[in-house]
Amino acid sequence: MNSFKNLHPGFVLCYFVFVTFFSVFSFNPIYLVSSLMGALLFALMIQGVGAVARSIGGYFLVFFLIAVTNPLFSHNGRTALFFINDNRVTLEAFVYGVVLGVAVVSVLYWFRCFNEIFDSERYMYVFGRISPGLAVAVSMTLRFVPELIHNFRQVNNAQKCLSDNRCRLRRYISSFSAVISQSLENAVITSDSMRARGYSLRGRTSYTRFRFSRRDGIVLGIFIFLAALSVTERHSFSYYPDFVCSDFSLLSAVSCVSFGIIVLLPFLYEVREGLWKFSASRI
Amino acid sequence: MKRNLCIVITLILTALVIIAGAVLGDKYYAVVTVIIALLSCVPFLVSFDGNSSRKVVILAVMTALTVAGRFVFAPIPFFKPVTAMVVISAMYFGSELGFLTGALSAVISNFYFGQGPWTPFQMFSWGIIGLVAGILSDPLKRGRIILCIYAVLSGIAYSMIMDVWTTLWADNSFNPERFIASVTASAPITLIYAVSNVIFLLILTPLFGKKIQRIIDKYGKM
Repeated sequence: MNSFKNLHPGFVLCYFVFVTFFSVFSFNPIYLVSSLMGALLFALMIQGVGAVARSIGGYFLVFFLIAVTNPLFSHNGRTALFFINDNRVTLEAFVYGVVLGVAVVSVLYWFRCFNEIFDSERYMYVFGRISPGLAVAVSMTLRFVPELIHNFRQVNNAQKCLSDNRCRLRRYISSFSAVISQSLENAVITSDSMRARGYSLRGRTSYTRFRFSRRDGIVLGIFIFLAALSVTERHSFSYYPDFVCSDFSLLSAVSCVSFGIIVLLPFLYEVREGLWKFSASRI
Repeated sequence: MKRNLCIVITLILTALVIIAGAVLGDKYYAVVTVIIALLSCVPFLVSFDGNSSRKVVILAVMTALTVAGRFVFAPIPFFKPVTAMVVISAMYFGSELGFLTGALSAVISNFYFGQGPWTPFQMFSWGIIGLVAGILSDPLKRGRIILCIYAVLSGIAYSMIMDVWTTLWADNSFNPERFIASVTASAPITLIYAVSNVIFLLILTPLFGKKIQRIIDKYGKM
């Protein structure tokens, strides 16, 4: 259930940037609720019901904290509900807090999906576009991290077996120090070996796994079209000092609908792939 | 040439984002600061010279050590050698490597711990801590007291920058009251940061000095 992942990483990155930024930019409940729903659906698709259900408690806590604390810090708004220490607690501030809470939680869910989809290979691609040297450094780092942790465990266990009675922190630090010596020396040897194999010569090429295919082009085209529609006439909503909702026009309704389609894009893509697989299996 | 062009474009973009933020009003503090934090890292990332194999590998190892440190000390909450490692990397290998170690450690460790809107801020704050440590590398190497002061200050700075982030995200504007509240709420954590930075720097700096000297003796200049 993860066909969206197979699209080009450049497109996937653009998609997430647009969706998260749009979610924080618009303080409009219509966009925010659709963004949250889209993010939840996406998370359900790629992580399954169990993982998402377990995560809801933590996110609800974040939501609750923001919704409750906003009226305590912000005293704007016309409708006073009650007073705490001569400070007005207003309905507007409370509603604004709820809206912000939804915005933050939806952004956190989008990032949750992003973490699931953007694996090391896609990171390498992005860094490689910035600078090929950086991509080499990142790929080596991603290899070194598990290796170092493995070495650390080995050293630490060996120290434990030597009936090392020092406190945990001191043992950790001395094991860490052993790992540092080992890896610094390895680094120098690796770099010499790289140079010996002609690393710093000119005319090096770099390998990318991802090609921008026609499929990516079509999805990107649809995405840009919808994004342009949803940006042109954003339906606005303001909270202080009074709730003001701009009138619905045809264009602003189109904007809401196209943003709704954008957040459903991963789901729709999944459905399309599923249909294709289904029809292929019938042949 | 291409690099200079990239840096100029980044500067122009930064200016445009600030102007756009000012024109659109104070609703967009959070987004504007995230974009600026990200853009501020771009010149360093773009101007990294990937042709020197030593530099590439040293950057990879220092970043990996930093990330692994965050893992290894995971059982002790907030007590992490990340800042100390970034400072050490800057002290011995220069500002550029310090900044990059900080920024890359943030991205790569969040690859394991979870990316979020906080990633650009972590990149920025660890990067800046590294950058400044690189500039101050001589005094930092000479005196333990200066090292301790820098350790405490960088712990406070890191915590403060993250508090600014919390304030902006929870409010979408900079509310001084909320900032003070979040600074107070995070004071114990700031204290742990400062103490852990001091401890790690005091222990790890001489260790690193010795190890790096040994490698220079053995293999020649780094």
